[in-house]
Amino acid sequence: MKRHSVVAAGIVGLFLVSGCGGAPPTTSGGGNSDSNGQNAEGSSNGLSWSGTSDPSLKGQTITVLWTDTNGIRGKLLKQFTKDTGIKVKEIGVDYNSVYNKVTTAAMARSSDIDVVEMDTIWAGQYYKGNIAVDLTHVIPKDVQDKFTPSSLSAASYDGHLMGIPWFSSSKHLFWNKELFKEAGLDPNRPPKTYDEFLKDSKIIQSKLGGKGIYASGWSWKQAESLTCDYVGFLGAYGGAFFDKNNKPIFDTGGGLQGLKEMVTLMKSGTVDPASLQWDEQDVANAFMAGKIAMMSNWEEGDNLNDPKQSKIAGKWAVGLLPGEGQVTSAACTGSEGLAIMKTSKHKEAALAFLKWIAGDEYQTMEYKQEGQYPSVQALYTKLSSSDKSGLLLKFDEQFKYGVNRPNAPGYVQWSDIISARLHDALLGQGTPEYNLKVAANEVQSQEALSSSQ
Amino acid sequence: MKKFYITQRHKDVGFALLLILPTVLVLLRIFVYPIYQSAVWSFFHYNLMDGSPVQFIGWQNYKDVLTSVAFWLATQRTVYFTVLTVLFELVLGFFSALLLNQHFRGRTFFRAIIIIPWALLTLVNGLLWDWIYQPGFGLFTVLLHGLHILSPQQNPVWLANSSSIMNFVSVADIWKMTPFMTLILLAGMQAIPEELYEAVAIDGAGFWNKLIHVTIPQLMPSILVAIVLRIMGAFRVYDILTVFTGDPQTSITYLTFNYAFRYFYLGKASAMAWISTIFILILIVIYIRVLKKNLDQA
Amino acid sequence: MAVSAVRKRLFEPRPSELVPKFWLWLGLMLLLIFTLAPFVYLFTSSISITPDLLSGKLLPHHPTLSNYVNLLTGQGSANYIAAMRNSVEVAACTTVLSMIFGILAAYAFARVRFPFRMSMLFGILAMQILPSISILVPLYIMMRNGVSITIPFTHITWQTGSLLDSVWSLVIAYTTFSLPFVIWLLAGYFQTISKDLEEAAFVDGCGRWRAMFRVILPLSVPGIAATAIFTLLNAWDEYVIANAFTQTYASKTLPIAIAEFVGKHGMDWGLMTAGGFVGSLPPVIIAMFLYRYIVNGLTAGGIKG
Repeated sequence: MKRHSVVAAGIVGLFLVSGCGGAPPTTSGGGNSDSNGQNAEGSSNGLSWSGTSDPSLKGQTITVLWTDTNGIRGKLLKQFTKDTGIKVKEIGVDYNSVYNKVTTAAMARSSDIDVVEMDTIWAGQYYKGNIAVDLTHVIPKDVQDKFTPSSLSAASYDGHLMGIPWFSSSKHLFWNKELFKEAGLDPNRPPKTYDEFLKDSKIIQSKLGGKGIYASGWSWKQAESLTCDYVGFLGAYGGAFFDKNNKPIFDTGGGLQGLKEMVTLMKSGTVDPASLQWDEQDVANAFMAGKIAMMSNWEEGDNLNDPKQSKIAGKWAVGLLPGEGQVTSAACTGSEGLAIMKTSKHKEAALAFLKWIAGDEYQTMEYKQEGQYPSVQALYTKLSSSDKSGLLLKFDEQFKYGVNRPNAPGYVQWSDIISARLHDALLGQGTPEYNLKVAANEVQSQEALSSSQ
Repeated sequence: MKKFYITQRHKDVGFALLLILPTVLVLLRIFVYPIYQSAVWSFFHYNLMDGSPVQFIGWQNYKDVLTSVAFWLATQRTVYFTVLTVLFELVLGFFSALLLNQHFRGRTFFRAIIIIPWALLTLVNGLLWDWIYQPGFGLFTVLLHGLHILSPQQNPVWLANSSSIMNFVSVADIWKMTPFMTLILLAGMQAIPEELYEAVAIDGAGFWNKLIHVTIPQLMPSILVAIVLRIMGAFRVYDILTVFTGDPQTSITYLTFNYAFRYFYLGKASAMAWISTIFILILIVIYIRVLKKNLDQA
Repeated sequence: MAVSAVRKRLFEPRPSELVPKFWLWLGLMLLLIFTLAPFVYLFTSSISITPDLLSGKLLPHHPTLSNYVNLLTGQGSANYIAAMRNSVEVAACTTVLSMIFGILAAYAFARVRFPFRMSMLFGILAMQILPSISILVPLYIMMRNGVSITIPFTHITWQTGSLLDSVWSLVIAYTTFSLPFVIWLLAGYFQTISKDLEEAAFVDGCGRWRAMFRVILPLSVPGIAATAIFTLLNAWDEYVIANAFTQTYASKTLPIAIAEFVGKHGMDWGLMTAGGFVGSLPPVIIAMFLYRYIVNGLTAGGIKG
């Protein structure tokens, strides 16, 4: 028996060596030997904002990878082909697959995909990982100025514009006016600070807690959604993730106070304990069922007013998330951009597409058909006259107080580290001080690891 | 005569090679090269997303992985999950098989029904159990309230922390994979001759005696096969966990996947994959040796 | 007297059996509840309206088929149906290919003595142990560039174009991943068939080839069927590779379609439960109708490795 195992292992080894010996690893994996080439680049990448109407682009086909699971976006693309003569192949996937697909394609040095979605947290990786074209000097300054600050900053990393701003998004405070009334609170006056938030929460809890209602619900499942909410608290207390030397400082000052406030809320018994298992959709579901009086969530609207899904149609309002002290309000930004892949063979056509995306026509269509909020600032005043709900301007107000997650290349892993520690602190396993200290150390060692080698 | 023997043998070998050729070609072409590649990567610093250069670093990735807290925590939880699920699946599967091996009216119906969980899509199984564990309105909480095990005020958050998540994930996996165990053991039980039971029954053997003296010894080969297949499956738990939690330290595969496809530490991820592979390989070799000994004695 | 007779019937098993009637039925009922409760819950959830679900009602108070209508005629219905078709194609092709390759190789391993037989068998089995994710990237590159297979000692090369976003990339990957297991199960089953039958065929003048088709294969139908079902279910179920290799609904399979009900910030439970229920029906039905083959085909299969 022993002999067999040894021989078996030997044979596997033999296959490995003889079958494929000598494959040079640096080229075999599509390694990034030109990884530092990005810095030398600038306006020299041959792309020109004014060259997008070049007739030679007609008849080219570009491939776009983005979130589109119901096919609505795909239909809008026909208009682009009509306008420019450039054909579009759409790869519509679910949000959770976008990042994997982009990076797998980049690893394989594949030129199959030309334009890709870029969530704000990926900008650093797209830059450092040599995935997307740096558009800082391609998109003229006066065009850049037309975007909402929220969406423009979300598409930038360290001064580099890595994609065209695609839409604006952030978290907002939603509250149930009817529950506010029942608890004896003014339904038109949501809490302005987290102190007030806690005070109001306690009132709601004491009046309505007996009915199984909680004052607030949050997306505090151990995942990105938890980091997002933490960013809002950190911002409200004037904190920052890193100092000027890229040293993590979120374990002190506003970052620490923010987490302490989250823990205080959790311990006060006013937060639905299920929050620790919820993502944003779960929170919205609980809000629609009338089980929580307040929630922090992304742009919701039609769902909440659909009587088939919602028990609170017409009974809710939305406004600014609380701030504290000097800070009026702070909310995590979720705006996204669209980037051009470095490996694309149709970059100019892709740029034409980006230009179209940033145009009023597309932005208006997306807003009307999918309720996606424009990245172009001027559209907010223009569209608000026909917006009966008044949501457009309310959301726009919050966008001004957006806080970005630190979208450096290591962010995805930092977020995993941080959300694990936040979750522990919320569960009461270790103090906020201790947990943030550990997270800061881990983030720093990760930082050191990737820069030293 | 001797000459004939040799040609016959040659013919046999040629024939065998011809039959094996398609498989070997496919495996060599599709499987071996990527395996080789991942082995090579495991010796390189190969971070895709931070712009650092690719370079040979010897065993450093292996050292890093073996000294990282995350890896051992994930290993510990994976082993816990594997032991817990395989044990429960074995016991439950064994008794289910025992029941379904008897003669009774409607046996076909029962045998067909129990396969349902196994045939359910793994992803759907994960989402379904996540739904069941929803606090407040999920089946689990509603049942416990209905049975007055929980008072109406109590509303625990089942999937709040990663250690307890392992238990809840185990339940979901046990539900889905017990039928698989049942099928293999039922197959084994069918091969046990009834005379063996009748023989010990004459000596007055009851349920436990029959079990210990006939069923278990006769079933040993099937049990070992079932165990090894399930260990290999359970050790790779991934899909369900991604639904339940964003914490990659809940299983080795989850951690490896995140290292490879979220953080893009391809070198480290490859090293991690090889370490866990070697771990399973050792388990399998031990299994094979035990099995061999077992068969030699039989 | 009557009482003790009933007692005897309920609590004393027949000599050849183990479990008395009472415990048998008690166990069967528990088994039935354990097995069916979550599945039934999946179904009842799929015909409930959202507010009912969120208020913890186990049985739908306002049963509705709207989730199914939405699934099969709504916005994403064309996608879901395309995914269903792709899944059928992938699962069927994978199974057929794995069976052809697997039967040939397993026969050689089980029935022909040749040098390094056992070592090769173990070598093939060992390949199955490496987690598939660790070779996903190299495999992706290979699929993108197209696969070329050259028949040894000849210049006949079979070269494909890029296989990404085609069901063939999945068929090739799944076939490769399932072959070791297929060979192992089948070789085990072939070994259980008496050599005398085959030798009788040799005496009748059959060659190896004919003996295989005329004697071994017909006797191995249960084993082949069981192996085929395992392969089929695995191909139907696979998610990670499919997620990497597919791009559009030209190749996306069911698990991908269902994963797409999960949005950026959460999921549509109604659609998921309906989609999950429909997507699970084919394997559930196949497994339920063919279970006897699984049970009989596994007998002794794979045990003597």
